Amino acid sequence: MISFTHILKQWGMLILLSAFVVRLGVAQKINFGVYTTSQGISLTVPSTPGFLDFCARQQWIGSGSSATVTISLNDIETQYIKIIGDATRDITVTVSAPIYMTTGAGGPGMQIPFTCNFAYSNLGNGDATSAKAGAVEVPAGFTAITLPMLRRTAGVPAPPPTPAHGGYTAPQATAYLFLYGKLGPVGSVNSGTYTGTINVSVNYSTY
Amino acid sequence: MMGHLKYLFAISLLIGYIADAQNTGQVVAKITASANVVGNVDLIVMKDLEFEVSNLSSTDLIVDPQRDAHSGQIKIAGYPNSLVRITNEKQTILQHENGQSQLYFTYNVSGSTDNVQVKSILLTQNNEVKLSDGGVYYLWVGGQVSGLENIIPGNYTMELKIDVEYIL
Repeated sequence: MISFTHILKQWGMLILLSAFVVRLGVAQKINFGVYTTSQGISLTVPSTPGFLDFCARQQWIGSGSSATVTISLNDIETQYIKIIGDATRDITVTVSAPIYMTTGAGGPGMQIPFTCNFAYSNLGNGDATSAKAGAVEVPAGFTAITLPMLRRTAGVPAPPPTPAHGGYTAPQATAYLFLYGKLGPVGSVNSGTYTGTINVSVNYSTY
Repeated sequence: MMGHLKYLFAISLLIGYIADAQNTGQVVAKITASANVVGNVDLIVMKDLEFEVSNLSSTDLIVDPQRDAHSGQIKIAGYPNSLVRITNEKQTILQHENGQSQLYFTYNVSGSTDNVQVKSILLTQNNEVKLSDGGVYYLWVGGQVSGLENIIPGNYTMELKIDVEYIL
């Protein structure tokens, strides 16, 4: 006589084992809707100004002072990146900036606090100037944002994007990312050229 | 046995994660932020201004800053190619060592990015000049002492005040 409890234990173990077998097969799954670089986001950094140049804002910054130099969104020294990609998709933009600009080896006396701010514009503008007028500033402290390549201004949400397939070219849109920020307080630091590298990465969002 | 299965299960999840990371397209741009910081500008006295008897004329004592070897010389050291403002007094008082007499001294200052006196140009009381590629600028200080007819022999001293500041 096999008890009901014993049957349950046997089946329970079998179900548990089969769950692991199924899970082991996940490594060979097919991913739908995941775009790769070759499927078309391009980033362009314009040669003018080419970098976030605090010297253009204030040519000489004196050491030994508590002065700060600020480049705001609407200043001409703001640097921008042009993002071209599939108009029907969302992108995630990650901005990674150092908290200090440094000279030489950095460290005490060779670093100045740096705060990087950024704003985005996804209104489909053709040039950076008009895009800047409609740019949305990202609150301080945020380092990543997700936004549609092309903002929907009216109407109901569009249907899901068409998957990439042979002969299909997705409609393209241009979005802009503006970089600016604050340098300082300068403090007692060595003379020299202080630099920092801001890394901006963009990918299509996956959900 | 279950412990072993748990181990395999953990590996399978890890494989899945790496696959996702490899399939997520990502493009990266690098932006450089840059700023020039300057320290205090330095003034280095290279040579004092000297008046000697050989310079003495009947009533005036003149030292030409552009040519006279008795001119004082000051080196300005700062950040390469930076703009600085140089201001100096036009006239000061030469005081006798015993305080018995004083003379009026009128400055003439010339300057150049090269350490060649004859290439220097006369400066006014308020000037904007650019430091050299090496971050230096040279000043030569001369001038004129008037009213020597009734001078009391002795040593006379004065202070020359020159202000140099960056134009930010």
